[in-house]
Amino acid sequence: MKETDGRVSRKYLFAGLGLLLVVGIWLALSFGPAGDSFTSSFRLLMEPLFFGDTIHAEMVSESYARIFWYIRFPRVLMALFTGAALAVSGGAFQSVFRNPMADPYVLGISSGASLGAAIAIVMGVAGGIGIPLAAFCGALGTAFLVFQLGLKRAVFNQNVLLLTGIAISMMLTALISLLLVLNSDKVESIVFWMMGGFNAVSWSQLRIVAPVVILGVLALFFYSRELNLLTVGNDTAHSLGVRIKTTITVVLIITSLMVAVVVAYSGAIGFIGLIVPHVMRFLSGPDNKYVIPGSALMGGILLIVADTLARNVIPPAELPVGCITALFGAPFFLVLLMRKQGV
Amino acid sequence: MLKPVIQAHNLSITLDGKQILKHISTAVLPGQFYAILGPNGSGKSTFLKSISGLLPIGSGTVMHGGTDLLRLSAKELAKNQALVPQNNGMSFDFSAYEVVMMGRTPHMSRFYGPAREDKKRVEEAMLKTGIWSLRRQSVRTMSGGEKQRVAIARALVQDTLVILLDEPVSQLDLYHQISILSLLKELCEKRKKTVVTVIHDINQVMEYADRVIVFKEGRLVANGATDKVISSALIRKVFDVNMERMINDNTGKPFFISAPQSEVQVAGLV
Repeated sequence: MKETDGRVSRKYLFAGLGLLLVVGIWLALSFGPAGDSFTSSFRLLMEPLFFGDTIHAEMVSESYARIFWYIRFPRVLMALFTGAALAVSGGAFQSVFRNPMADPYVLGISSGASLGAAIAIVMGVAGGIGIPLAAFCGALGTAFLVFQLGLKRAVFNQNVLLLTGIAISMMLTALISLLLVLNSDKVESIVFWMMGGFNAVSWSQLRIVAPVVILGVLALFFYSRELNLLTVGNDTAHSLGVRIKTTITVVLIITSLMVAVVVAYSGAIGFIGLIVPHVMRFLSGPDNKYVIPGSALMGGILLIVADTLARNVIPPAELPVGCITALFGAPFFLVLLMRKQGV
Repeated sequence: MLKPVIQAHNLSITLDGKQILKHISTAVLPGQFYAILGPNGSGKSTFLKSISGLLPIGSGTVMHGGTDLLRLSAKELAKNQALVPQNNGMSFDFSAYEVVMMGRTPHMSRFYGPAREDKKRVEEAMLKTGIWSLRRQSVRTMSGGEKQRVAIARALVQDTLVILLDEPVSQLDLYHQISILSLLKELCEKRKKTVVTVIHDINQVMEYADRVIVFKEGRLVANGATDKVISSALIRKVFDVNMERMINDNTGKPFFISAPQSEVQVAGLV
């Protein structure tokens, strides 16, 4: 027998997550190869609010301020939005597919993005919007192909869509391997892109990512009731007024768009999308009204912390952020799993 | 003459290239307890799903209270009829209370939590189905019978005129079989609900069902008053077994006991 009483008070949970997010952002902004300073970052953050933005030169060096505003700040926000998008998408996919193993990449989005990026790199595209655009097209193209092949039957059995995604994903991965073998001089760039990360994030990138993620998370939050009902089964969801095909289609389109955009800029960062929704369910129960906003916060926090570690463990070199999320996240998740018995 | 709550006309359903239901024309009358009978694979569940709008209708029509099923929105349908499916599996740890509360979805606003009325109805239904003490337990880890009672409670709180159930007592112990069937019967008699349920136990059909709808190999064999339709001859025709009709001395109601099977039938069964 499993009681559901072990859940944490939702009020405290969300207050805690909010606090952690603020502290996490502050810490992330304070650490970096250009110098660590809690007071400088605090002062820089507070200046526009209280002192106007002209006096920081007296207390904080101009170069530190530039790094702070144009490198660290957009990078931390990109980690926040990417983590939120991946975690929320993972939660939504797990509900739609009624499968705890589903992650944001089940429809082959990451392989599609990687293939797109790999093709662009092989063709000599460098810098600017070229590689992210190719990755975005690859991601969305793959999702579209999987929809076309699997969505019709998904009304009766979502596993068809899941398996279609896995099959297409494997095929694309094979194509990437072929590209790697045939272009040995580009292996490093392609592999580096595939490992994901937040170097060279700019405000212009955030202007694209932030609205997509914010609207996507809000839209999925709007659908939280339908997502809950889908986890009980299509028959029951239908009898309770859910338009199954419409709901699945809309949720998958929103999720795919969101994941495609973040993957295009940051690469396929694993672990967050699979695990964060489970941790939220442990803590708050499986109601998506709480799992979706909670996953957005927790995913954002985790990726901000992981990215801060990635760029500070062995400076000036950067570790792939996906390695950090898995290395530190997996043991934490295993402890939760052992204590709670069952996902 | 009562106006049917559900009416199928020349309904055919084909799934994966196989025709499961063949030209079914039948009606469900209000306030009655219907049992759907038939051998495995005869189309009982498909009929239940198709009249609930879950399956694409190949040909023919299904009318709900005079309106074509295809013209009803998902929400209108959800206020009309509740469905207790055969499979009540669960992937995540929703508590029994949360799952029963889902039954109030068609009556609740998207943006507000459950009102006092919703909570009251959920508690009532959980008490009636004997699962109030399990309200905090995760449905995922419940026994099959407990899950079935949670699904029935969820259908009850949906507060619809029609309740469709696919083998709702198949996994219940004897006590809960009787209490759930009595509860459904009471809903028909006192609250004028229409219950349409697949049941396999012929004596439960005789005891509780006002009317029966009988299927064999995707075709409608009969739809009528239980004691007029069910006979040893019909049982032999539909199920290919010999059952003897008896009368209960205390209630005066008919019941069936197994009679010796012919050698051909036994060979078929073995």
